[in-house]
Amino acid sequence: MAQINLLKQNSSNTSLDIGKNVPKILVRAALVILVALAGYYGWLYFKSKSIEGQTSALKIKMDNEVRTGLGQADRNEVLTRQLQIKTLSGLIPAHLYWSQLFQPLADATLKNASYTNFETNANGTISLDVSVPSLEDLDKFLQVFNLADYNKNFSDVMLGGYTKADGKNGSKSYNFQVKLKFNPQLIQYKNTNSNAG
Amino acid sequence: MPVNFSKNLGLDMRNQSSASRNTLFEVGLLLVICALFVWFVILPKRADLDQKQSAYDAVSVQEQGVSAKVAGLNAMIQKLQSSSGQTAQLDQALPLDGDIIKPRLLVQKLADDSGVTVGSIDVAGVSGSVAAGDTNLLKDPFGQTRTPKTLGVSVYVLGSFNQLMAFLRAIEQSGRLMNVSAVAVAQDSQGALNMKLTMGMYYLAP
Repeated sequence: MAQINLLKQNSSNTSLDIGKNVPKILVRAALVILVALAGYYGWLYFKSKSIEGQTSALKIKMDNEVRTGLGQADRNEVLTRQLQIKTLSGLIPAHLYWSQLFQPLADATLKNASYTNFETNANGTISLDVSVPSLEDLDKFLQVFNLADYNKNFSDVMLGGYTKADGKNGSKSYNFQVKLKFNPQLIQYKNTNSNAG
Repeated sequence: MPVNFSKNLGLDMRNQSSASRNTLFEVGLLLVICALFVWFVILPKRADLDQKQSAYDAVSVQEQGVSAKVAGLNAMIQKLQSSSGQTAQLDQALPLDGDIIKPRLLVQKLADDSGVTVGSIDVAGVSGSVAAGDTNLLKDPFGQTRTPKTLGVSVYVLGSFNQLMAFLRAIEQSGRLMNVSAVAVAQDSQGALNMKLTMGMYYLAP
């Protein structure tokens, strides 16, 4: 009677089972991956739809806000007032104070000299008709502008022709015209309200 | 009776090997399907989502800006409504119309206050501008686009040196912005002084 080695056969079947199951496991793993990818796609889809909805809602909200802002009754007045302030902000620094020019000019003027005509403009030049009693005074009048204290405010003095005139009481005078430049800072705003010390 | 199990077993092994090859083929096929799904479906969808997220972020930032501007506008409107005094000063400094009568009256008042005698006051407005009753302006006073304009003013006054200086200072410090562009002071044969001021008065008009 032939003998059957059942034990050996069983052992061989176990190793065959493992070898048979590995591909199945791999198939299942691949299926799980595929299902997971499908799930991920589903999540992407719904997330995409959600963001679309949120964006749309935000745009509607923004449009409403813009409409509300533009529809404000006093908006145009606010814009006009802003334009006023902006325009003034540009004009005020350029505002000139001509009255500040006279004291420095008086300080630089010889005591014997007198002015009969004074003209100035924003170009920074002054035209003066001056009268002095003598030629020496005329020379002194001009020499003042060579001094540093006065030259910083008034410079480039140009002398026109002078004429000799007789006064009512027999006195003589020399009349002449000068043109000079002045320091533009003289007529700019000075804050006189600041407390020194 | 002897049984040839090994033969039967050999047949099983061939079937099993074939099944394994099929299964491995299925695995490969599934992996290829996964790869194609990722490449042609998932990645484009992901890119689309990223793009939509970026668009949402941009709209969100824009909305925050609009919201802040509207809030700022509301705050400014409230401040404007409670600042009637300052608004009046603003209108005095830079009026919203090119009226030529008020500047004349203002200069006359400043001259009277300074003690000088007024020889003449000339105010030159923009020719062809509507002096009153502008229908469009009355309908929507602040709805028109305005630009800075200038009235040309020439003033001739007489007085002592101190009076002339007081008048000049009053012009310079007036609440109505007047920018003097030229000053001429002269003495007549009797010794009396006169002064001519050339200046511009600004306003904002459509």
